[in-house]
Amino acid sequence: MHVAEIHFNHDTASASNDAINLRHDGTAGTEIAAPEWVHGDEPQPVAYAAGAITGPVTIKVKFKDGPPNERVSIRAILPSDSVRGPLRNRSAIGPVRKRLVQFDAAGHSGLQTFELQRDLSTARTGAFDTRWEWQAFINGDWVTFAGTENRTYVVPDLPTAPWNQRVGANPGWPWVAALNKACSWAFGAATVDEAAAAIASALNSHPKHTYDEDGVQFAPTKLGPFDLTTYLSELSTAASFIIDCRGVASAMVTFANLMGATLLPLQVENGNSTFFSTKSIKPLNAAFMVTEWGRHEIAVMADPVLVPNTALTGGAGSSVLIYDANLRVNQLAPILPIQMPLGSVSGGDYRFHLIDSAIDGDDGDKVTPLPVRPVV
Amino acid sequence: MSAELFIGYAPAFDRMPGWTPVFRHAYGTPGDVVVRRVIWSRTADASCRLLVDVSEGVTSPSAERRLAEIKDESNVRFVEGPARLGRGAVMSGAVNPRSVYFTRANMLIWLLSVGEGPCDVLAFADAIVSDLDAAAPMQGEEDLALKREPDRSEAPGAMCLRAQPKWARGEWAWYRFTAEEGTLSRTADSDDILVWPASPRGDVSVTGWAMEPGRKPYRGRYVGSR
Repeated sequence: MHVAEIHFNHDTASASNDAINLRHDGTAGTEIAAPEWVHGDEPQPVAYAAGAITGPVTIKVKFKDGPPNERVSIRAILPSDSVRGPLRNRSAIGPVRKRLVQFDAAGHSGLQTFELQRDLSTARTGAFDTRWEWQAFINGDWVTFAGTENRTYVVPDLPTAPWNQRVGANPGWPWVAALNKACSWAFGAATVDEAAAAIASALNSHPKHTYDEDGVQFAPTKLGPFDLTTYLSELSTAASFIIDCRGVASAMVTFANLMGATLLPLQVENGNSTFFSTKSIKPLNAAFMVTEWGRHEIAVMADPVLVPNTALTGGAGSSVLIYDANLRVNQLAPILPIQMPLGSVSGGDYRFHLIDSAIDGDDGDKVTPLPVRPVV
Repeated sequence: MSAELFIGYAPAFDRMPGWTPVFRHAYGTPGDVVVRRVIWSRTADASCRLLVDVSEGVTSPSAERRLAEIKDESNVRFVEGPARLGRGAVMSGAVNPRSVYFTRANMLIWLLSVGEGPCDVLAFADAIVSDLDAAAPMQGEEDLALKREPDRSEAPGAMCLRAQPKWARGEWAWYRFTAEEGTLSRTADSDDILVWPASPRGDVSVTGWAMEPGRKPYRGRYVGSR
């Protein structure tokens, strides 16, 4: 008897009881379709959105070469380690509940629905190698007859723009290549907010990032796409690379929203379009410095007051919560400004820490929410 | 619009030894037909890395618009680039600039030193200009077919041409076209070109070159009227 195939994402229209829709990367035709595990083939990765889970998670499994015309109780357990016991930390999705499986005269089972034992609605963020030992109850004993393994990702909630779960041509499904990064940066996060904070911290402290105003290669224009393909390639292959605030903000939005956050880019500038002077800030891995910018881009949590491409001036929007993974502020006691109110130059919030209003009356009083950039 | 048009160009830098392409990627973006991106790494020092983006627009004004947009949005205080790169060229600093932008016909070309190590972006920009100028008029056999295609309803008044080289185009192959008595643009959905005659009679001639490193340039000519 052997496992012929396993379907994790057996309902592409829903993520409440099965895995979410994925694609490997932005290349056309890289969508992943069930069955994600097929006997003799390279296993495909799967992902679950904890916040979308509303009941028992099921998989569908087909067996072959079983006992003809017999019913067998089958389950899957996590492999044991003789020293440490079951390798629970290697799988967020846990074992598979037993059920009776009927085999036909040819020893085939057809697709059988199994329930996962663990409550995935409370699972924490991460990337795991889910190894299962498939066992049949034979002559009063559980006998292992097959082993399967799938890369499994868990994210706190359903990904939001630029990602989607729509079914159609060239869909905006989450990229496995991006999940690899985001799940490692946000490993262990129990909530979307925790995951977003972890991603901001990871981006800000990434040893390959060097801040440079010239480094606009990942998002060259305000309304253009975020070149995630180049960004992921640079993270993998380059010793280091330059990146500007728009690139960091785009990465922040893209990876946090992959975790289920609802961030969008926000451009901060002087209302009179002159360059503004910063207080002492620490962009990425640079030293604390004072500089001048014509604009600065950050990420902001979606809020009804924020309408893409509609500028807010004066004090409007000061209560929105920002994520600036690009820099640390407050040189005496450095702060990574995440989940911080936008505020004004006279409060104790983000604009107060960023902008030196003593110079030319700079106030960064014009903020423009931008549409989430599509990824290419 | 310009009387010159490029399709498919990305620099192969076959005259810049010691550098290796490490990444190649193309994507569509609003306002451009396609952005062709190549990242090069210096073989002897991987910290020296150069990114080149060729944003290929439908027409020359689309390339100029994109450059204006980038200048307008940038935090970089650009200085004027060398005249040899054409009108409107800019770079980020007068000495050892990290980036340089210039347009040529329907292309916005951007070179950026993305690594920690030094990279003379202007030398690479000059190599690109040499590339683009290499397709000079030639005598002899015409071995690139330029065939008339049905007119496009979205381009009334233009003639549609398709270039058909003798060989299947390789990764680094590209076309250059020039027109006499007319201007050129490209179609957004294919590599066909649109010829816009300047005269009321609609007479025009178009010369095309198919270029690929390691091959001799192929040339073809179309003479016709609307």
